[in-house]
Amino acid sequence: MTDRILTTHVGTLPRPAAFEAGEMPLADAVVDVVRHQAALGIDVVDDGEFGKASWTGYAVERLGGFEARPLEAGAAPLARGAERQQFGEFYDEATRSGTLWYSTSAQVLTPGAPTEWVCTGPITYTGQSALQRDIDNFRIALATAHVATGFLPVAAPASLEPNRRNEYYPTDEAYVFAIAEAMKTEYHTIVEAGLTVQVDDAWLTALWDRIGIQIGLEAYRDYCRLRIDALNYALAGLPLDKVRYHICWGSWHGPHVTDIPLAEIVDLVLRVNAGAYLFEAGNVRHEHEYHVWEEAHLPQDRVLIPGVVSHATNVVEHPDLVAERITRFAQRVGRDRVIAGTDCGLGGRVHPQLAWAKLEALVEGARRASARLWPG
Amino acid sequence: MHDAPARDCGRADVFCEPRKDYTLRHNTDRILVSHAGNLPRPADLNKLLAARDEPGIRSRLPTAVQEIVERQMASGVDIVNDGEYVKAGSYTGYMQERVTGWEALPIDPGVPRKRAAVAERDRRQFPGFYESGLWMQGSGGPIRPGFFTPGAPKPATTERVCTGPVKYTAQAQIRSDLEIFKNALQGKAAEGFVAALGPLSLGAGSRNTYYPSEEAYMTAVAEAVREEYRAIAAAGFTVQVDEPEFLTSWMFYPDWSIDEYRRYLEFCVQIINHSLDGVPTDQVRFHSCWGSGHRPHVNDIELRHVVDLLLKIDAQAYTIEAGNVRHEHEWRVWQNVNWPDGKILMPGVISHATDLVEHPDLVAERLVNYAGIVGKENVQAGTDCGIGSRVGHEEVVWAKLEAMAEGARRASERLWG
Repeated sequence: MTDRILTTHVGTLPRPAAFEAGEMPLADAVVDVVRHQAALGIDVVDDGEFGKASWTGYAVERLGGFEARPLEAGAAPLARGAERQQFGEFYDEATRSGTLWYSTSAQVLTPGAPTEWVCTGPITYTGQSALQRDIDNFRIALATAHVATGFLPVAAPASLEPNRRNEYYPTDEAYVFAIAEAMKTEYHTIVEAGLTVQVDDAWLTALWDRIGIQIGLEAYRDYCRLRIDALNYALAGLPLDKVRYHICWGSWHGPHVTDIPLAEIVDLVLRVNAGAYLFEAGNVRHEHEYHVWEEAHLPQDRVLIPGVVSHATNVVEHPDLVAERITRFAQRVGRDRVIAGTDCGLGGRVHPQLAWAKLEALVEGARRASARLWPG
Repeated sequence: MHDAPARDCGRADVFCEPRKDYTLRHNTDRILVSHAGNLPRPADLNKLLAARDEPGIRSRLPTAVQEIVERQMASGVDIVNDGEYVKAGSYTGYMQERVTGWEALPIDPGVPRKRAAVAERDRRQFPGFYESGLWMQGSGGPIRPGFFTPGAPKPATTERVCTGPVKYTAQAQIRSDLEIFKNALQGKAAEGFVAALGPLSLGAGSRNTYYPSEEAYMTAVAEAVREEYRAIAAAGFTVQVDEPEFLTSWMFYPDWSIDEYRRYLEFCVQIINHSLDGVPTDQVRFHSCWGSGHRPHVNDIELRHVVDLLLKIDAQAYTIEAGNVRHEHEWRVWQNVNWPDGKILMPGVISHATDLVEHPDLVAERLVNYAGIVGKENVQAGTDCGIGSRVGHEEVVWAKLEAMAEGARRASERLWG
């Protein structure tokens, strides 16, 4: 229990130029980024995801049972979707000019094309040493910066499945649970190291545009339910307050008019056995959805971490707007159950100077909201 | 709507016809929808413009304007414009061509610059971001081709200096602009507005060596642009005075205190009102914004510091940014303002600041907030700034305008039941 609104973010942070250039060891870069977060006043920090190639791509190196094959022409159904049909010229131009993201570095993109990963054998977790390196770097950085604890982001089974075709397991269910079984090692190892695990599941939500609209809401919800059950299987035994669950609607700078409304899936999100839920609420497509929490039942032992600053614009959020956004949530679920967060990872999605300015606005906005919510 | 008596616009040398039914309309049973100005141009018109094919442009303009009027109406816009097609180039450039009195002279390093560069306060705080050139990018990615030159802008080698009498010379041009727009609106239910550059944004940046004082200089600038405003009003349209410098000048004088800035704005109000002399107030919409560059904006002057001065401008309607994350919270500023009877507020409820399309429920919520303060008759839906060239693609422009119209419909349902 605290007497103010705490602050955190979703994961990726800008990488120091020297680290990008290969002139700074990973361990030093992690110390650097933890110190930077602490200095700004971020309460719940991470390692900036510096140890990972990308938010799902890293898992390729940590899972056995897959082989890389050249992608057959037209064999990437997930590269298309309803919005890419509706706004065809926009997406063509944005893809051509590389403007869908701030940076086209692997940090934000899901790798795959033109290679396809195919599951051809039993899935195993082989990433122990990479994971241990990340944990060690982070713990040393926390100690150096005198921060008690932090979180490490990982990918959810449902977000590891897209673009990784299954040729080995007899059913989708068996396949997804096999991924979950393997990733369980990662999730548990992080918590056993005294850290919080944040499970990133952007694909679950983004798949509505790619496949959900075609199969219909009920079939899509069934699809999600099975994946969430698999995730819960992997999370079994972990204390709720050590698990955060993040969804978003995809962080590319597109119209997002086909995003599924939060109200349609909020019950499924809450089905995940996590103590905190992170979701986009700081951009023009999802800001109004704070009203969802007037109806949705948030169990007493859970907290919300809405995005109150966003990668979706270069303009830096005014701290008064951040405070207003936080207050709206606090009024609906209680001031003790709101932590201020970001829509998605900021690294690679806006210019580094803007990413840090946004985190600063986040901290100041949380301070102003706290003053309002804990008067006197 | 009613017929107004014929009136003399006071000048024989501008387009002058009996005024019909135009005064700025209030909402009667729903929130009306408009926008701040520029709209996407058809590809073939762009080609003609790039080739400077004057006869080609002249013959294409009337149909292009007709198309853009129809497209706005189809998207649910009530108060439409000509897309600013007749001013192709830039929002300041067209007026610079229409008013004489300046020369481009080599910069004399011995003469101090009149003022700092665009966004100077932000530039000092975010040097790396500005050097990257990304501030003129789209809402997130690198520079869009054709939008702005990547990299840090080259230092200027020439400056515009006022060296002779400032004179409006575009009587024939404005007459033609207005005729084209009038024809495009013929028989349609939409109302029309025409945007024209404000005196500050035309003249305040240039050094004056001709007039005895800055005041005399800016007064002359006001009298020049006034001719265009009067012509627009006489043709029966709403004049939208585009005056970003009312708010962005804060950046040009990075060391001024708020009091110093307010003193300058008192002068600006005088100049702007002088430029509106003879223009019926009920045909004037005043637009200002904090600059449409995709940049941090953390040093923007806060609305609360200048809102009283803004309302001293002789306009019927005020339209300013309110749909981006730096200014969205400022709807509460109006709670502390005594809203003048009958004035119309048109906040930006969709923005160029992001390529994500505003959810209609967010648009509705924003409008309802404003209606609660200034009255549902007095709030209209607008955009932060001209949206045509400032988002990733024209498909996004139209999706945003449609979201605005749908949001206004939802707000109207809530407000009128």
